[in-house]
Amino acid sequence: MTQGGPDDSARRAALGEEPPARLIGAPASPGVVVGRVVMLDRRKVQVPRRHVEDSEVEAEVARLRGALDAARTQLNGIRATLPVDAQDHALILDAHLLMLDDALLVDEAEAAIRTEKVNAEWGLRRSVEHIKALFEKADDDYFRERRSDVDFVGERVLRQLMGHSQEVPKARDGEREPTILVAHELSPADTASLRAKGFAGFVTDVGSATSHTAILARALELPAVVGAQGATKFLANGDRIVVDGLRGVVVLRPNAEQIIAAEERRRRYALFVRSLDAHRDQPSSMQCGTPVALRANIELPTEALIAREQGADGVGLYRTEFLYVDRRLPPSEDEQCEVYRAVVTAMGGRPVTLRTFDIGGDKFSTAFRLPKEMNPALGLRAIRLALREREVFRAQLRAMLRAADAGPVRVMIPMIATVAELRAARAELEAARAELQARGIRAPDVPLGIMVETPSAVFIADLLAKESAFFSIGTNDLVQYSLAIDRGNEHVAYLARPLDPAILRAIHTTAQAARTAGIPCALCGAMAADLLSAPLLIGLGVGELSVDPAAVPAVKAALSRVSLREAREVAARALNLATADEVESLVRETFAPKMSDLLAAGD
Amino acid sequence: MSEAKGTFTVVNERGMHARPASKLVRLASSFKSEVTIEKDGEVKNAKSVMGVLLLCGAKGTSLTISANGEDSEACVKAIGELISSGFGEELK
Repeated sequence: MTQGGPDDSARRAALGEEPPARLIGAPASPGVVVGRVVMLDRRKVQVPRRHVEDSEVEAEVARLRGALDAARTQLNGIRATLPVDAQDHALILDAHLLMLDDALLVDEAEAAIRTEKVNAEWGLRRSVEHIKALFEKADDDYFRERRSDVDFVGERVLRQLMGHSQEVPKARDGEREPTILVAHELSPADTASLRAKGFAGFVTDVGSATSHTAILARALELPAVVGAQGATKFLANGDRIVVDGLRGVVVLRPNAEQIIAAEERRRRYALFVRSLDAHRDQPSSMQCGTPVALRANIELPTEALIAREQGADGVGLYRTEFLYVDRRLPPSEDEQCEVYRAVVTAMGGRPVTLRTFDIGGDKFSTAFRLPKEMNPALGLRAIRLALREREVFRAQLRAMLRAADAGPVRVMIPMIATVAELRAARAELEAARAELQARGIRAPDVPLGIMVETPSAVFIADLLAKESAFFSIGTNDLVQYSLAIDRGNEHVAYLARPLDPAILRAIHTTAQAARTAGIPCALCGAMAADLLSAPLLIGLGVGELSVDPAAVPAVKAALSRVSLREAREVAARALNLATADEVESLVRETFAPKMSDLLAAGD
Repeated sequence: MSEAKGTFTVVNERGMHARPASKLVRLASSFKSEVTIEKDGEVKNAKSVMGVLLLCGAKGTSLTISANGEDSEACVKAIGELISSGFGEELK
């Protein structure tokens, strides 16, 4: 724990490091809280080496055993605080507990203390490094990665030995204001313990909104901003801050006006959540009762639990790219199967759409040796890469087929531009099925559908619909390719508007083709989560929407305020408008009055 | 003191990963006998979760369990049943 105060501020000012008025991070978990900071200081421990006299050896061994006992008590405590939804994390904690008793770890550390006459810290480090080196040699990715568990356990014991506080402290006692934890980084287990310890929110220097930590924060309904660079540098114990988990903003030393504004936002958000809770378990439908499947876009298996909690009717887009990122070799079939099956199981019989890897373009993976490209968005990505790396693609398809025994699975191919690509993908799926059958595994028949996200797919939507089990329109890429706008180029990005008449017509054409062929048409781009656009999309003929789990309740509420007939009327008018501005005015005028409460909450 | 020995094949799909390894170690630790687990000549203490994990027992691996102690017979039998039943995991 570091102590902050006036001296600290003076020192910072003298160094020219005057803290900024606000820090911008990622909105990890919605909600707003005003409170006082408690800092968690957890830098990587430096291990000292010290010679011990013969007479001290047994005391040093005893110190090691004491630290192992304390670490065991800690881990048991952490496991007990995990919420029921997070119990899956507890399985790895069981292995960690056994490691604390493991002769391989303990005997070698004790032997080092006794024979080399070194301190307990050094003996432990020797043992940990040795075991990690053994795991390093494993042929299998899964077993090789267990070295991080050895590290996790070793670090925990080391901190006990060195008297560092490993655990998250308790929130300030007797404090009338809420307490907010500020840390460089938090593990999922740390995060799980925050509510029980009395914290009302947290801020971290690093992290992303899709990390396990962020997911747990949402499950615990703790407002959080992650990736707020400089948080631990500029904040000190006792500082008052505003954590705005809706916008991803941390306000430092807010003035009275900012506090009142934050309290108002907090109150409004709390009311909003309460009003949505009432509809959480009801299926999504328009005001007239017409059902609309509302599903979730997710990336991590744990997000499936959040999606279900938020009332999503299945997963409309499961992104598999994360499995391939930051590794030298592609994930094995078994590893993937386990992940897919976990998602399917978590959704409890609701359909799960698994998208094959969409790598290349802006999503680079080290598992493939991708060439440097002048224009990656138009280069070797998604299905194009899959058809070049057939072994990797087929392993993924086999894993998806196997996961289908746990519940309804749909397989979705990204970036389809031609019928030939769709046929090639289908041939790979059949080959994958045949390979499984040869191994004696019964592979169920799963629907094969495509992402409609290239202009060419829209032009030939009628042809694709005849050979596809479903469509899902990906508006993010469709906007970029149709309007010829690079989303990452700041000079033109403002022109990339999903409400552009060209995009509305593309969506309409695609939905009509799906209707004619009798297949479902979904939409999984960011546009589906825009409350004013959602009813318009249904009016254009889209039958299913897929949005981020956190957006499900609000979209559900928005759809319930508009009838199908009205949505269709507005869509028909929109299709005859000439500019994105005109379309936006139309939807705002017609839909906004019906959902002013929902729109205000997100501001 | 009595010795017992048995060879068993890993049948569950994911092999002897963290959860099955934890189960095996906990079971082995409940016996008084000294227990070892061997794969292709590599011998580990069956009461060490890291040792068991280091064997990288994928599906199809043949494991020899040797126990030495008063309850050696029961120990090998119990561990054998655990491995052969796929550690209570999915087989396929």
